[in-house]
Amino acid sequence: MSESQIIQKLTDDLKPRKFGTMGKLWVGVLIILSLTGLYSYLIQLRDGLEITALNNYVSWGIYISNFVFFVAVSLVGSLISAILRLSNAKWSIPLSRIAEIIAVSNIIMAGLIIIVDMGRPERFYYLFTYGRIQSPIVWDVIVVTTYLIISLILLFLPMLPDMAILQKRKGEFPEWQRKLYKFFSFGWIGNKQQYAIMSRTIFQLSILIIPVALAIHTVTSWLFATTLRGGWNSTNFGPYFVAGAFMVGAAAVIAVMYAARRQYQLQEYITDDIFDKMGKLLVMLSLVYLYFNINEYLTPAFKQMVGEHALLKDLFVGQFAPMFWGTQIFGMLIPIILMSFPWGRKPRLLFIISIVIIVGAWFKRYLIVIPTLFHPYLPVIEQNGVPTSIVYHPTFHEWSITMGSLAAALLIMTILFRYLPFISIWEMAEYKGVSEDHIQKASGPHPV
Amino acid sequence: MKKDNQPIVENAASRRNFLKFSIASGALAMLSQIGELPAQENGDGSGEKVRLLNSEGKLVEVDKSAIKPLTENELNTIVSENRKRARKGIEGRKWVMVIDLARCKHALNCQEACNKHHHIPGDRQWLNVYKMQNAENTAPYWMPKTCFHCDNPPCVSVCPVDATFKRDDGIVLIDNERCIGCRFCMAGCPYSTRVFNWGEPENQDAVKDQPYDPEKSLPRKKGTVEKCDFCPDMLRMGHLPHCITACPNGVFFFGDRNEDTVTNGSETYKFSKLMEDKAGYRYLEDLGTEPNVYYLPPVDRLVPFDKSDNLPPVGGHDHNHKH
Amino acid sequence: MKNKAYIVYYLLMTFLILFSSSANVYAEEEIEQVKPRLRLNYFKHMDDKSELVANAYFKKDGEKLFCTGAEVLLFTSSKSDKEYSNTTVGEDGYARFNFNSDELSSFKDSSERYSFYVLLKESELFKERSDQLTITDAELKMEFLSEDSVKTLKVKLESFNADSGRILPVYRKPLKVFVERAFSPYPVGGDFNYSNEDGVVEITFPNDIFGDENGIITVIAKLDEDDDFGTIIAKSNIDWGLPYTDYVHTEKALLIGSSREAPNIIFFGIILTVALVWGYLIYIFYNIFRIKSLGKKVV
Repeated sequence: MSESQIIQKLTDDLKPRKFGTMGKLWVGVLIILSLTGLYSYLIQLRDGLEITALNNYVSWGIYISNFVFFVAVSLVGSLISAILRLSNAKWSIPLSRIAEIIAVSNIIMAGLIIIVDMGRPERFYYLFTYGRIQSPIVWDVIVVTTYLIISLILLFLPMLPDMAILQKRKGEFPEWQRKLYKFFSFGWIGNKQQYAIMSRTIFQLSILIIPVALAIHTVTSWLFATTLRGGWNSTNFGPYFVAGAFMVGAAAVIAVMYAARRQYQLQEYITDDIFDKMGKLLVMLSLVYLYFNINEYLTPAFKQMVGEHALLKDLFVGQFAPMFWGTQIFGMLIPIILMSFPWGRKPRLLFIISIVIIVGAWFKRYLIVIPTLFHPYLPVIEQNGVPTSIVYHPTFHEWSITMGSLAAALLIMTILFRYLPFISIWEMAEYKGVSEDHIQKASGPHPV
Repeated sequence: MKKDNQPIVENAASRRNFLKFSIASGALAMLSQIGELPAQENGDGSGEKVRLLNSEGKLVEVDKSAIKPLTENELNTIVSENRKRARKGIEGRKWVMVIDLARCKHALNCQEACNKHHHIPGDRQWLNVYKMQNAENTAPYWMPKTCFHCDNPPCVSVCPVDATFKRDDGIVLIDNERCIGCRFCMAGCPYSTRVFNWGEPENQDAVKDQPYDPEKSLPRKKGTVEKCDFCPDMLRMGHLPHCITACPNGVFFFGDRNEDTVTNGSETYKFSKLMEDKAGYRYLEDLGTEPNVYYLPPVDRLVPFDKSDNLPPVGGHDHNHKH
Repeated sequence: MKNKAYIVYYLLMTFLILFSSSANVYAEEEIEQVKPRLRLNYFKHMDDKSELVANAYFKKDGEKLFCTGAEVLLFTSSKSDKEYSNTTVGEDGYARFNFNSDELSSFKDSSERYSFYVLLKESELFKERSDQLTITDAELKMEFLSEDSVKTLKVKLESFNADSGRILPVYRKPLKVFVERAFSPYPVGGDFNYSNEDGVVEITFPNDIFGDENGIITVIAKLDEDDDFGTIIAKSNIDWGLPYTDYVHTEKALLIGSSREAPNIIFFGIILTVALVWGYLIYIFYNIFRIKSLGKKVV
């Protein structure tokens, strides 16, 4: 195959394509879920947070744990597209854009869900006009915004050549779609200077995004660690959160790439070998997370200090025990064991394991946020003077908004997958040995 | 700057004749038509008289027809003045509270008075009385708890928009016109002091139309946080907070740290001497929050702890130690 | 069927009438006049103001209630038919009359004592009630003596004695001393101090009372609710207090803290980091637009 034929084939294989019935059904379900969530949110806007199960003890609930989950998943953008890119792991080229799409969609939803949690969302702009720079929430706003911007650039900048290649394919896409590609090609004609600027910028951003990504999840962990509460009052929280985020993010990439591979028959690009490598990476990240978990629970459990002892009891043998051991065993231990074997890293099983890890990770965030609030320093009192237990069972609307936000994140991802080449055409060409000149020519203004 | 003999009404003159709201029953009906007092109080009117509390805290009787509803602009001016004043605090003061645990018999008059004067809806309390027992073989006792108005308030440290703040007179107050409802302060407070308006607060008819004053924490607003405020509106008038005057057993003492004096209304002590003589302490001192509420240990109690009360005792930090 | 309906109707009406009439009876009972209690107190402030306070209240079901709104008349004597002044009982249950020394002289009787007669006027709610009070005029004086670091306060009570025609010290009266504070005055010098033959109570003044920035405090001497003299209050400012220093907690949280303004290290640290990152991002945007302009040039 000549170099231009390779590009031709790559473009044919990787260009955005219409969904089949399953794809349409999937989008339909996501839209319905998102709209249900939106409906619930409208009710919440009218009635206030009263419609949730939140109360004066459990003042943060699944909105916040869901926010932590979104931030965690979004961290993967920096892992794949930055760390693997910098470490020159060429096998990860087909994954970098997938990871970036996951990052962008999740960080957008993280920003939105935090507004959902606010009692007075119309005052959101106060964070900018009256922001106290000492408050971890303001830090979070700053780093999340920064991370969103960098992720968007890292998604769109490496796509300029692909957009230029695609916009030349007249007749294959509706005219509006082609115009969109032309717009996003941003005047790309593939000359040397453009190429140089792009490569340099991607390289610099890949470095910059690492501290920013670490910052978003560390700062998110500080929302808890800066308070005086048993279970949150931990110096381990930053790395603990980051490790967990890398783990769930890697699982998310595996799940998404499996779905994409099936949908578009991309076995040639997303090979079993990539699954195997991602599986190994996931095992490594899970082991790191396991280590931090032991750190997080063993030392306080050993000391049994008054502020933490009741909380740990509640987690280990109390009301949260099923969820706690469920997430630890199914969401971490069993996946580690399974993925340690080559057969455990075969695509289908790895996909299932990843889904379990993702679900476990969601509940893990629940366990980080909510049980602590069940154990305040002062005894619990109700107004009639009778101590009653603290109760938090999320309401329908709360679940509906949470599910809706998760569906919306998937919907954003799906839309991006539908209309963007989610595997980088030019980088794949480069990987397959096509020279820079040819790529420049293919993305240049003249017909190939 | 230290005041001399005047009561603590700060710039009473400059505050003009803005009517405050009467706590007297008769005036409650008028709250929706709060206006400025006209120069002549005895014009021809409907003959119907209303009693209102003026800015100096005195009860005045005015003709109903003399009260004009405030325009939007006037109302905004009052609210913004209130909010500005609430941030400063009362000059030269440093409020401190002392709670004598030996005297508390769980009469709950404090809570009742607090609820009444702050129009607290039924789903929350600003003031709680906890049944405490530090260890299994130590004596149980009642522990009233207000906001501790800490000198290192964790709630204020975490607030992203400066909606809750520490005033020069030591009070930690909330401006619910600023609060965005993120509830970080609730997570930050280790004493579970703060409560939230999850929905539209109930039973607010009597106060919902008055101009907002952070020093009254009224009217309350959906989606914002609130808590015990040491009744700065009372302090400004030179009166003690409601819980102190309501307590039949003289449990609560209040005063100015700068004067080194606390009083429960009938007894007045030197704060530093009281702390020394009775070994005063602060709850959960090791958290480093530096509370401004001190406790006197429950020793030499006149009335023994009511054992007939069959509430399960709850321990110092760890309420799960139930027997 | 129709008859039955009538029976029900009549029964209902009868019941209603019965019920309403009983309600009326109840209402009449409510309006029945109450027998108020009236108590007079005389306050003399040494800065030439005197006050007669009438406390009017009644007891209902063991609860003390105020005769708010009742009209109260003041007479110079019980025989006088023209009232001297009148007022109404306030929300707090007190009716107050203020006098300066000239006005007081109208109440002087033959033995140089002031006698007050107060009448609570009969109304729909209250029965008539009266009380009288006779007061001997007395003076309370403070003398501040400071020797080395020992501060001594002498409080002297004197009264005009009609028999001898002279001002004489008053013996064996409890005189209290306070320092004015934010809410209620702080007692100094012990609880039971009775005046000696010279009418004097002498106390050693404590050295650890906080005053204003110059150490000025307001000292109050008081004779409380005496049968002969009423209540006499003398106030005086003296620099016997410790100079006030604002109580400031010294160990503020080091890093973050609760003030509006961030500590410099935090503020500049964060601003610098954000400025660096965003400055760099702006440079990146510039580069992206350079890509665009480079594309245009060639075409």
